[in-house]
Amino acid sequence: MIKQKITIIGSGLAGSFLAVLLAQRGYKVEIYERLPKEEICDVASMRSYNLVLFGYGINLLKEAGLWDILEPHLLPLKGTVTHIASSTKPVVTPADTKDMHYFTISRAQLADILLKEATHHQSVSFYDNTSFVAVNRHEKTMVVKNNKTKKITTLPYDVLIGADGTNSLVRSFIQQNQTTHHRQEYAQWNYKQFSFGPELVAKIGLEKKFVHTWTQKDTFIIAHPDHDDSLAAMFVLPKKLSITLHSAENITSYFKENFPDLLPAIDEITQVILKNPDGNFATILTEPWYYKDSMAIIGDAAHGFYPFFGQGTSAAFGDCMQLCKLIDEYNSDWEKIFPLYQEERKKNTDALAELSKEALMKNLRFKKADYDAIYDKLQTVAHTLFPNIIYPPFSQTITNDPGRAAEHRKHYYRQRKMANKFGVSLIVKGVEETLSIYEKLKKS
Amino acid sequence: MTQKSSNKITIMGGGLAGCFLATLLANRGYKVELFEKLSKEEISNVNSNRSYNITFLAYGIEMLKQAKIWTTIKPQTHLLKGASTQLSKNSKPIFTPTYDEKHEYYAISRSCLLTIMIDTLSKNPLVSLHFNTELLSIDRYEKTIIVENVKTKKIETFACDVVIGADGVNSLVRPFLQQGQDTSHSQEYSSGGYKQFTISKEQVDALQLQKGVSYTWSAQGKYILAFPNLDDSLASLLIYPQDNDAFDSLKTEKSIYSLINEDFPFLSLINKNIAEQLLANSKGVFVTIHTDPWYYKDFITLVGDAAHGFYPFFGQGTSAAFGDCMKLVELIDKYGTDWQKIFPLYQEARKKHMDALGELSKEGLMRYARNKRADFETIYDKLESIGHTLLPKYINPPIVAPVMNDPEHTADYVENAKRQRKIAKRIGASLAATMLVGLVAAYENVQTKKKN
Repeated sequence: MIKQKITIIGSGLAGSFLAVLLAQRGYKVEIYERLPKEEICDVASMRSYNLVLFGYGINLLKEAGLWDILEPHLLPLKGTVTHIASSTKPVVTPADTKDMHYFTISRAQLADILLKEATHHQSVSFYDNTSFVAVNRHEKTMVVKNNKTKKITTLPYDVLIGADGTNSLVRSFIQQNQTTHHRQEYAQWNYKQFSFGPELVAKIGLEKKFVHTWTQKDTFIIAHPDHDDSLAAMFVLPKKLSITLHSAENITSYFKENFPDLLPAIDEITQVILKNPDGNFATILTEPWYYKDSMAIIGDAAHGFYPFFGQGTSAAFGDCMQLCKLIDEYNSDWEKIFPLYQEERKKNTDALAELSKEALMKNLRFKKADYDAIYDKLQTVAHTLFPNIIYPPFSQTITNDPGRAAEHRKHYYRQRKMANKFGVSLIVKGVEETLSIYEKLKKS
Repeated sequence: MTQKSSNKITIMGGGLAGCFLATLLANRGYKVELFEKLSKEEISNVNSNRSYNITFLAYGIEMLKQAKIWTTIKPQTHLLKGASTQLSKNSKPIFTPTYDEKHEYYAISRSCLLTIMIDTLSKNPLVSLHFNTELLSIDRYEKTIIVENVKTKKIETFACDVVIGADGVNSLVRPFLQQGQDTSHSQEYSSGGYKQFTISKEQVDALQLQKGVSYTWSAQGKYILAFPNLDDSLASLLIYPQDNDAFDSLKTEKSIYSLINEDFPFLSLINKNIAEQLLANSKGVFVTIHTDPWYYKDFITLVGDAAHGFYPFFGQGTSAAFGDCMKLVELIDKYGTDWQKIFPLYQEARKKHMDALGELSKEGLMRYARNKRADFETIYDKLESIGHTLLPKYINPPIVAPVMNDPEHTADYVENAKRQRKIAKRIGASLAATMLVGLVAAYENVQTKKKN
């Protein structure tokens, strides 16, 4: 049997990863990318930030046979350092390296490696600088535009997969005339990116190979290490505040007051904040994910969520893997594959979207005396004592097994409800109060 | 390939909303370019699935007058004398006269209205009409649209100053407008469906039905709506508001006969003809669309169903679309082509009322399906209208009347109705209504027992 041609729109992480998996299965693959190739893989661009891979993502890369190629580029993380206030000592949470390795890599570098790996296959053709413009679902043709020559071409396709991100155009065409539910919400927070060179990291005295976070009342900074010990930072701030940070003086005085630790790097920070536009965070809950037997979406196009749970990339890889598992099982019977694919994935990615929102809020009010933090600690202790009866905190279960996020979340809330009944919440409240009084006393 | 433009307005979609807007804009001296996927013949085809009757109250007529097309349209309309509602096969029909000096109520066929507008537009040198031309894509940065001629398959790019999407419930302009914006979009399909059929003039005579009257025949879980055409035939819909699968069991003539004999025995004379039509016609569904935003910067906006699709049960779909167009040109009269100012004001003025209409239409669909005189809502409405007649200053009439006459303020009426209902509850009116419901139900029970 001659296998169909599969057309992928978008050569980001999701698109490239899927191309690799499909090529391995003997499919002919065509990838269309709006940007020039250099831009997607440009580490210094705005589109690049550091992402984190946990057990689940790592296993997917291993399953795809990409681990050996990628491992040398991944930086193992030693843990997290949370800087609560410059007066108190930072809280260091070392990574539990026994069963939970996790790694960081820049998005651009990962994209570059995956795309090279995909185009390495003879059956994969790659067209950059080519925008997807429209589709005719009945005739199975699509219209693309060459961004250099502005030439418009109509091309046939067999199966069209949209890996074209949050603002997916493939999605719009899939959902035309179908019963659609689509919600796209933007957070009240934006982000600005900047980085600290290795010298600055040393000067400020930051631990190497750790993820650093600085939290304030309604803003925080999260910074991931690179191989050269520099830090790639994301500064998350309310939209309102972002408007006021329009001059060097304002930025300096803001950092002086809120993030005094970082003052040595203020020149670099100011420059970048003034130059780069803000990024924003979108949550997308959408359905359906497919049209009949000829179109489907993967990755951010199907489920956009905030990056604070470290699962965006893994979720996109998970989509690709699920799709390919179903392809293996049903042998290109797309009419069967697509509904099963959506059913398997959507409930989990929706749960992850909610969790990512919660994670943003958690980051914003991180205190040692935080109710959730104490509750999680108690849960960890209880889990060590009664591993069969009590679940560990769900951030642990989910980061390693987001394939069943919906289930884990349900367990967590059930357990929490029970705990409330038994009066655990009273104890937690007591500890929280005691801690906060203690911290206040120490300050004064 | 790209054509040079000089401050013209591009309209996507040559349905009622698009043509009405084009008419208004051309009246004001704007250059208009209108694109429509179907051919001129297809879009105004009387025998197509897209043909149904539209009703206009004073509000809609006023807009047609303002568009300077009422005098051309009026001879083609049909004055509705009233509505006849039969709540179940055993009950007597209730006749509500709708026409008096103050409340004119007209019906016109969609295709007829559209043909008149298209003919007027095609004579206007400011307007260029492109039929057989389908929108493929919009480039918001270069301000161009890409269209394809469905016949020749030729793809062309046009430069635009501003694009207005009048391309219906499944608007393609809408996703291009909303791309990357903070969007909220919900598109819900009712769990029910409908099929169209016509009762010819001869059959109307044979069934001894009145002329110029709209009919509602209710039965358990389904009903038939029939509106008179100009030739005295009735354009009818068989509607299952909740049970979409009901049509699956109506796939043979025999099953349709038994449905008519069981629930609509007064139509059994023409059951063969109804069965033929129901088997031949495809099933329609009802959709409600709530969407936000309605515009992109100073470049794209939406009118009509593209911005707010709702069930046709309030008889307001067309008036609502026309209302959008009127609001838009009202703002154009005020601000010229300062779209950046106009679009947000336009959405603010229209959206909340249109969303309220959407919800009311949903309730309307459900209400027709309840075939009891002892219905709480019906009795409450009756109480309200009696109260309104006695104390017109203090008590508002039931919501249907003000909304039908002034859909532009639907959200306000809904708000008032809710408030009034809350007060009514407090002073025990709902208790009285509940008791009445009980009484009527008991009375009806006794009546049916007597019959048996």
